[in-house]
Amino acid sequence: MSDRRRLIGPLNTIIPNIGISSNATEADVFKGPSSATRNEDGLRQFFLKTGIIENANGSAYLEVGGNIIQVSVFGPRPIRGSFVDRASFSVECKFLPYISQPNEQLYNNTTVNAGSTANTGPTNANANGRTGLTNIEQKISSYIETALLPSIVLEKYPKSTIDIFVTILSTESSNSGSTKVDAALLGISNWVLNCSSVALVDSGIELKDVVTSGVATLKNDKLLLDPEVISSGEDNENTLTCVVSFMNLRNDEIVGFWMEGDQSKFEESQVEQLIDGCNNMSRQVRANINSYFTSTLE
Amino acid sequence: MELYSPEGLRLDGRRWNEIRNFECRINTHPNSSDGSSYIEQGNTKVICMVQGPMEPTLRSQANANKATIEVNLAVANFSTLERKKRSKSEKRMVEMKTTLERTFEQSVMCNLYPRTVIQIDLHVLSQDGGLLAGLTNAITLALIDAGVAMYDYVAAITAGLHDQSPLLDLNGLEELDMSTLTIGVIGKSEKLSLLMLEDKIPLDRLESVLAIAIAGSHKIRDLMDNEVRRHGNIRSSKLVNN
Amino acid sequence: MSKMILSPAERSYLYDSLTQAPPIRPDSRTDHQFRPLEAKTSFLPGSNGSARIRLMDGSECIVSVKSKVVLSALESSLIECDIDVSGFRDDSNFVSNLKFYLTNLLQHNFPTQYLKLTSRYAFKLFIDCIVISHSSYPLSLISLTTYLALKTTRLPLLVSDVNDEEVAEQPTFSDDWDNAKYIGDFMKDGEVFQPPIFITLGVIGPNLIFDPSTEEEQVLENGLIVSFYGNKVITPISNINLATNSNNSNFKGLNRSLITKAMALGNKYCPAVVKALDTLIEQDDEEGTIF
Repeated sequence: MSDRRRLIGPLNTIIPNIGISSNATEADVFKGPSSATRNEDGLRQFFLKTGIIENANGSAYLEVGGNIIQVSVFGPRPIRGSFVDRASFSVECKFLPYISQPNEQLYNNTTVNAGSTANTGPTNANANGRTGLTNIEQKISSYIETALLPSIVLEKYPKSTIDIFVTILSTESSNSGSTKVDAALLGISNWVLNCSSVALVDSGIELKDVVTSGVATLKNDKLLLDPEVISSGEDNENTLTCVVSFMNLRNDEIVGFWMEGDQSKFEESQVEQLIDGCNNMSRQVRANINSYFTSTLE
Repeated sequence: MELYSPEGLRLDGRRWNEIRNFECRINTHPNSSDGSSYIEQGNTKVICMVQGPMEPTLRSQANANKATIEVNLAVANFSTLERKKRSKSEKRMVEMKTTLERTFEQSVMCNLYPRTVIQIDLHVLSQDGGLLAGLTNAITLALIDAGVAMYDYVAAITAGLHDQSPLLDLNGLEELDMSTLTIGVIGKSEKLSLLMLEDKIPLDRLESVLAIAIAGSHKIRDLMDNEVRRHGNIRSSKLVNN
Repeated sequence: MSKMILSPAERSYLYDSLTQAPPIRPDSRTDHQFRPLEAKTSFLPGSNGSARIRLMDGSECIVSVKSKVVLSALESSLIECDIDVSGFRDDSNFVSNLKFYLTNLLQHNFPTQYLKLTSRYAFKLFIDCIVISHSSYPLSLISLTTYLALKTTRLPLLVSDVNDEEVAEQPTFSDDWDNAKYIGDFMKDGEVFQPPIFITLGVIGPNLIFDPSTEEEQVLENGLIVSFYGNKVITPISNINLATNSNNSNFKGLNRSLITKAMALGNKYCPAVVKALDTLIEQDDEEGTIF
């Protein structure tokens, strides 16, 4: 039994070289939202890297358009107390405090604490001043958890927990005033899921399949994969957005499904069309992830 | 606004020694709790549910000598005229919760249930003065319904002092304007198990306020007793028929 | 309420019966049947609308609707929801998700134009739900109770001028509560006020079962949440793990055909659910007490 009275830091800590500049050239680090180029398959290019966090069992970093996501996987870690025959699994997704969350004025009850304190601090401080997860963060966490749960072989890890921590470093919905459309929310959920999947693979935890995900919008019967966030001024009526996560090697089983949008003429055929679109995108993302991993093996 | 007219009438038409309409029901939630009750004291409305005595989930709650009483107080956002989002850690709520726990640790025969916890969940749907008193009465009824051994009823009521005259069972408006005394009386005795005075009352006036409050508590006790007996009769008639 | 954990043998038995065609459910319901419920409306005199639903297993939800006159320019939304679940922290994942679902549903599917009073002022509705006890996932219980509360919500009658663009004046209302109108009364002829509802569907084998009970939730392979408004299935639609812990070993992906099947079933059976709720309101006596 380790020493429980002290908080021991991680094993391989590094003291940062404070005051020494890293010589990074600004332009290379961040490209604006509009600069994302689309491939002929209709998807935006994305940048992916694994193993960036040494202390985590697995980690991944993903940039697409203006979205920057970082995921770390901890586990299987032992738990104390009563015996469980399968690992328990949890996901915690957080936005960096200064990042505005999609539609936060609607879902995060920001009006509640508007009067209580000078609201200069982080936007996600809840009523009692602690920074728990906001409703939006909780919702994304749940989506990821539900979608990844069927893929992990939890039976292999009794008496343990597997925890995924997602940090959203940047979103492209910098400050869109559109309150009606949750497309931004679905878009970010989609990429968080793909990134988490990669991190899970990196951790070496046994999986039944790699879950990948696609997002698509249907506007005036036109299907668009991986949509960028619609700017606030644009007409958002009759837009149907859907994120679907698949296990493509297991008969394209759907593990995550979330559809939002206007429904004046909402029909089953449209849902079919959207699922097809998401499946296409999911396969392409999967192919990209596969080739990434094969290239790292060489 | 005149709280007490020269003719001796209060805002809602009561005289100084009259209580508000008191309605109570026990065994309102037979499928989700071991004991339950609902009370209306004027416009103050409270649901109470008791679970236990049961095995505590936390080992720290297990006391080898007696039962632990845990009160959870949830005041609905819509319970006041103006809707207000409130947190459970509000000071007034925490104080009320502790007061109730201490009161019932004395009134329940806790020594009969060692290593157990009795969990009391309170939901305030509407409040119009006399909240602590209403909560106490609701808990008493729910504990009786749960079959938890108690020494006697704890019947509670508020009383206040307006100028020179004591007033019984204050409503929300009256409570804002005068110092309020809440007492819990044990059964038909004159023993108090709960006493809470908000603001202050001159010592020489306290006697008369206490006297009227105790009389009021006895009335409440009788009304609760009627309901318990009514329910008991229904139950026993069912037993006979089976 | 403590949850009964099924033994492996019980789980296997329940799983096998639920995957039959048609499924055999422990309480002998058919696949599209809801559990029987008991409802009461308009029992909170301090609220514009209120409702309570109880199920036979003791699950119970109380919803209050309160209105407030606001300057519509200052509000991001005219509807605000809050949910309190007994035994859960307000910032827990469980409560946050329920809040998100309900807010999302009402935000997109509510005729907010009828809450506008004048060019400046509007009613803002505060919908507060208290889940006193629950055993299965309470989302559909909450949304059905909200339906009843919104249907019976009465708003005071505006007596001042509707046009206040030139003269700034505070809206004034009729003192007589008998003049208050239901939200449905503001609507045009031919339109019916029918707040949106959520239904939960359990996925097991080839079957979809409506309103799964807590025992059924423990063996489900997946879950779906479908919303219904304006007499048809609408968005949001999503899948969900109805068992609160990750301990359900049956949980797995679902076939895409089940999603469209769920929509079809929703379109087929939800009108009956809404009709049943409307009948409940009609049959409810006007007596003020809830018990």
